[in-house]
Amino acid sequence: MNVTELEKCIETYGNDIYAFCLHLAYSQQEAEELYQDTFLKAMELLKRIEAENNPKSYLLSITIRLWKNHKRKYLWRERIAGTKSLADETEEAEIDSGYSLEDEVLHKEQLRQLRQAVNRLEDKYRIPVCLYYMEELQVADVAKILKLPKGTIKSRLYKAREILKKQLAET
Amino acid sequence: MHGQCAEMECIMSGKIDDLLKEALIPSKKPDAQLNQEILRKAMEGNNMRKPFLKTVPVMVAAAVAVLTAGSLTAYGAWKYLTTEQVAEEASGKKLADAFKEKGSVNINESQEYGDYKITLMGTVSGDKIGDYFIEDEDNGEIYTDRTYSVISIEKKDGSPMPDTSDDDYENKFLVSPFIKGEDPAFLNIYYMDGGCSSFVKDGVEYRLADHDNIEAFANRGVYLGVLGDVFYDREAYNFNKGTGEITRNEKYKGINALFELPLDKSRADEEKAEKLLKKWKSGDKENNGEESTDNETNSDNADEWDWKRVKKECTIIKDSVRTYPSAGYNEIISYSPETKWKGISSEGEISFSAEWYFDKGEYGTKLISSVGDGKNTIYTVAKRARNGEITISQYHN
Repeated sequence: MNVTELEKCIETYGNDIYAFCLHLAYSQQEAEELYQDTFLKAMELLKRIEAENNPKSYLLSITIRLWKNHKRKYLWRERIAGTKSLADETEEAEIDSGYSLEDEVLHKEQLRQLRQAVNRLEDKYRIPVCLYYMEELQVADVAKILKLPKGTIKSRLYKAREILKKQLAET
Repeated sequence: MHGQCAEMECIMSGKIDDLLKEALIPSKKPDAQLNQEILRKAMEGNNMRKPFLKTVPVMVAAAVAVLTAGSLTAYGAWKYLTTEQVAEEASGKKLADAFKEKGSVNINESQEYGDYKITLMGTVSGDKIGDYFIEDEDNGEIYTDRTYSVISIEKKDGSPMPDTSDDDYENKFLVSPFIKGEDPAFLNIYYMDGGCSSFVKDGVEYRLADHDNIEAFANRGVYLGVLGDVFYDREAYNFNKGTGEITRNEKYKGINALFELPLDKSRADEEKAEKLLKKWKSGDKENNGEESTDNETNSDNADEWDWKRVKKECTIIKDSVRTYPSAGYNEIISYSPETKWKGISSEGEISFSAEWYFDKGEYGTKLISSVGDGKNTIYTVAKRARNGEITISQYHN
């Protein structure tokens, strides 16, 4: 892949990959590292991407592989630096921005709690949830990315929903 | 109306799908500067990437005792940390103390590949000798019996390695143990509940790799590999199935250092070794099908059987054989035959990529899935022909 092709790839899929990285990583800095690493790795693997019918899925699978491989490094950093959850930072900014109508504020708060609950999920639930609801992939595509049977993905989405319902009901 | 009560009713009535979609709408976009940074790095990578020089033979004889006095160490010896210092920096005092104990092994053997000099500094194993331990997400088990190895990586030309906080820093090494007799493609640090911490001090990158305690394999032989990528690369090492020996692929154009770990043979324990192998080979718990709603399984469940046994003991299911034209090695294909395959999924489809089951250039037949209780089981096998054709067929016992 040359730089022009990489630029086009970033232009087409950058927003989706970035959003996914933000939900995987523990801080904006780590999310941006993961985002960068994904595209730089993609550049090395262009031939594979060309062979893929769904480049977005393939890029997401690179992100996941990098995330899993780097996870301990990220966790290690978290222990040292005590990084703050990116989701928390984003949500606080949103709340601070202020809404005049009470019901809108409540709705925002509900969505914030839901996002936080998603971020607290174990990876095995959080990743399928993000791929399915945020990246709007089909179950079959999520299964291919995670190399798991479709039934397992369905099962995890179901369990994730149950966990989220329970957590929100308790708040 | 979006009152909180209404929200709760919405959730409890099963409309959480809609809320999740709304909650997870991406709200932030990558900064243009961040994208420019990627392009800049990509351009630099393109301009600076030079083919590695022909691989240098393993420099066992030139093992550099970087921490002791002598002519070999005169150059820049002052800048190296000790294994204890690395352990303290990367983990904590407890592990640092363990590296001072009698059971630790100082090695200090260097090998040079490409632009780098890689030194295996030392190793130590034991139960609860570390400062932190990883916890199994699924069962809460904490892995305390570990082996720790310290590696240093530096540039041969003396220029400093980028600091982990630098923009130039790129995590591009993998430190992994291998067990003699086991294919490293299927038994490396990723299977051993392993991890690695790294930092750069005075231009030298130090890595502390830790994983399940492998001393039990001392009699069999244990290696430590260092690859120039965060992923394991099957091309990097040769595995001799007959002898179990693992050797460097001399034609490999990347970093593929390989050290023999001189473990204390008195710690060898065949029973423990077998238990560890069983644990590692049971693979990803996620793939054990315990959560599958469609009674699906994948190849990991088929470990106790192989194609030869299926061929010998089972009967082919008529009409299950389907041949598909050549697909790319990495291409993931969903095959959905007119006659549904049994047990694979509710739709009778199968997702398949040659990369998942075959080495590059490898052809033949492999068992890829088994569904059942052993007495009434459906086995699915894939045959990869030399022309790239894939044939899927099923057998029953």
